[in-house]
This record gives sequence, C-alpha cells and structure tokens, in this order.
Amino acid sequence: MISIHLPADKEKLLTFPAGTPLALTGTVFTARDLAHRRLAQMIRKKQELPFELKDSLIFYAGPAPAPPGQICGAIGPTTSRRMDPYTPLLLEHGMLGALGKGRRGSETREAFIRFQRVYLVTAGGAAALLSRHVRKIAPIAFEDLGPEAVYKVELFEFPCFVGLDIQGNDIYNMREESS
Amino acid sequence: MFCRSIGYQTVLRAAEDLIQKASFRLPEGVEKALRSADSGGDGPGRDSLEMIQRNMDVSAREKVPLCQDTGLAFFYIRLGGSVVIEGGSLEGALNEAAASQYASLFLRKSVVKSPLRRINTGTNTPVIIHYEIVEGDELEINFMAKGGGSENKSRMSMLNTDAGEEGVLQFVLDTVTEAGPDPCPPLFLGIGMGGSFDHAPWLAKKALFRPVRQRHPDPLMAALEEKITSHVNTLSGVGIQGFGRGVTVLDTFIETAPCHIASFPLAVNINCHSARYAQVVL
Ligand code: SF4
Repeated sequence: MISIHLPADKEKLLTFPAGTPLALTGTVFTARDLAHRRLAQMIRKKQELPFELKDSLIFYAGPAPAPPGQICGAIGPTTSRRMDPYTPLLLEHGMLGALGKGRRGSETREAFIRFQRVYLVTAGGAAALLSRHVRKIAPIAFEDLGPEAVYKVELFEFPCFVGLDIQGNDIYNMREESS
Repeated sequence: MFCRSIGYQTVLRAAEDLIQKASFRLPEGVEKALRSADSGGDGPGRDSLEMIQRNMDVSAREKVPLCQDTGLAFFYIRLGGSVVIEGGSLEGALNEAAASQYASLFLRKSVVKSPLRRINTGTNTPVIIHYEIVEGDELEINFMAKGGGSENKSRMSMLNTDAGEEGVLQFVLDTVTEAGPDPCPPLFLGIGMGGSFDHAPWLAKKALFRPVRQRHPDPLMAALEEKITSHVNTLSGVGIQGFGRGVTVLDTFIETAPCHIASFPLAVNINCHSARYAQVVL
C-alpha cells in the first residue's frame, strides 16, 4: 500500500497505474447527486463555489451522522456513474480527482485522461471500517440536503485504489486485459 | 370468533429491535458466507474482501452502521387472520419505529419526498410494507434495510413462455454482468418467477429474506438456485467489488407463483453483500 499525503503528493498521485492500493491522508470534499447538480449550476452561473474546487479531491459519499463520542459516522463511496453528467465540467474547473465506486462512462473516462486526473475507488459496504480513517468531518455547504450536503473530510490512511490512471487503464477491465 | 390482540407498543418495540439488530450485525448465514468467500487471490478483490470482513467487526464493536447507506426500510408482514392491533395501526407502528431508530441509532436518512422534487423527509420514512394475511394468531415481522445501489441494478422482464431454464440463466447473467461493480458484489440474488408484472418483483424481494444456504423446497427450484449461482460465478467475470476476481454471487433464492398461459414474468432483485435483515414472530 502506498501512502499519499494531499496536497503535497498531488503530482505523485498521478503516477500510479490502475489497481495500485493507496493509503490516502489529507482533505477531501464530499458531493453526491444533488450537490453535483448545485455545483454545476453555480459554475454555469459563474458564482463562487463553497470550497476551492481547484486541486480538490471529490469523494462521492453521503455519510451517516456520527454517534456521540465518535468522530465520524458510517462513510463510504456511492456509485460514481450518477455523477458522470457533471464530472467533465468539474474537471475543467480544476478538480484534482474523484473517489467513488464503479465504472465511469466513456465520456467521463476520456475527460479524466484529457485533463490528466485520477479516479480512485474503494470498497462499497465497508463504511464502519472507513469511518475509522476519518480524523475530522464537518458540513460546509448545502446543509438543507441532509446526507447530500458537502462535507469537508480529513482522511487518515484511507484505503483505496487507483481506478483510472492517466494512461486510461481501468481497474474494472484489468482481468480482461491481463488474460 | 376468537381474536388475539397485540398492543401497538409491543409492535413498535419489536420493530425497533429489528432495526437495531439488522444495522450493526449481519445475519449469521451472511456473515459466514463472507468469512469463507473465495477471494480469487492477490489484488484489489482480496483487499476489498478483507475490508468487508474487518468492517463487520468494527460495526458490531463500535455500533457504527455496516454501510453508510442504511437503506430504505422494508417490512414484510405476515399477519395472522385472527390478530388485531390494539391502540393504533400496524402501519403507524412500523413508521414510528423507523423514524425513532433512524434518529437514535444515527442511521442515514435516505428518503426523498418525491422522485421529482427530491426533498429529504429527514426521518427515513415512509417505510415500505408488504402484507400477507395468513391463517393463525401470530404476527411475523421481517425487516430489511435495502441500499439504493443494489436496488438500482435490479431488473424484471416478461420472457417468452418457452424461455425455459436457459432463458432464466441468460437474463440473470445479463443482469449481474450489466450491474458490474455498482451493487457492491459479492451479491445475493432474489429471483421472482411467475405471477404477473407487479407480482414477480415482489417475489424476488421476498426471496431475499430466506436464510443463506436454505434451498427451495421444490427440488427443481433448489437445483436451479445452485445452477444460477455457479453459472454467474463462472461466466460473469464481475468478481468481488467488480474487480474481476473471486466470488460474484454468494447465494441465490427463488420464489415462484403460477402465471398466465401467455406469460413468463421474471424479476431479479440484487442484494449487496451487506444483506441486512431480521425477523421476529409475536
Ligand atoms: S449496494 Fe449495499 S454495500 Fe453497496 S453502498 Fe449500497 S447498501 Fe452499501
């Protein structure tokens, strides 16, 4: 497992092939379905976003609330493909990459390659475990959306994999390619 | 006529217990299947399986939900014909149980008021309830927390009447292959065969409540369950978390019903590895 510290390792992050296991430390922002819709609207209207998108990693997640005495409730990736309609726009505006689960559509894959950005994935349904890799979490925008709000999350050695590398290799096609 | 009355509060408490039980601990058979699952060797699939296994420990120990998607709350009710609920409605008790437990157990509220307006109800209600009125004086409550990822990849089809086992195998294989990583494999498959356009999907959901490794009483269906599991595992290439290696389907459960001479309704309800359900009989 390779340790990555953001933002220091943001160039290094781009160098690993699809399938590489990573332990990610640093700040990310959650955004899922409705938050994407709002972010895209704001970009189109040239409004200021609630966080600096440039060089930020977006985590496709909607966490459960933290139980008392705990830092973070259950947190894990949601299906990334639903965010595809918005991803090229966010990449165009400087997003460093995304963290989710599942395949991306071909236009989205091309956009990741064109902007030389990475798509990371992690296991779905391991949210109790993943919550132990969060050092801090707080909502910073769209709180009316409940679990779909944007949360600022500080990850600590968060286990994930390179899903799409900048050469366009895809973790979900690796078996076909190697056999 | 003899009637047995069960108090609203009794139903409420029982439903609350079920939600608690299902949220932090998988049913025994599910846990066993995951502990002994084929990892397919070194790679992201095996790493993910290990994460899933460690996740079960953390969830049980620290009372953090197994998955952040704590689901839509489904209740499958088998209500004895001579049972009356006193002091309120069954529907009211189940909704109250969900609202209170999704708040007090820090489960995620994943319900929006309407598909178009998409405003979160904030309580994870309304719950979805299926009723069967059966003989007797018992009330059986089954609860399932069903995630959106696996529900989204479920499918139904009206096959040709001569589709046969081959047609079933093909449709199930196509459904799982197309779903790929999205429903978080390894999976459990609920298959509803027969009935009608509306009934088959319900049978598929109901099938998912059956304990792991318990086969259908009809030997033909029992054999088909085994066949589907091995067919998909051999041919889909999906693997753990869709990474291409290891087990794709942990078990398959079929429920059947008679159907029209012109029809062959078939539904596949996919459940993820985080198969959270629990049962009580009052
Ligand atoms: S499909 Fe299941 S395991 Fe995956 S995110 Fe949804 S509820 Fe969790």
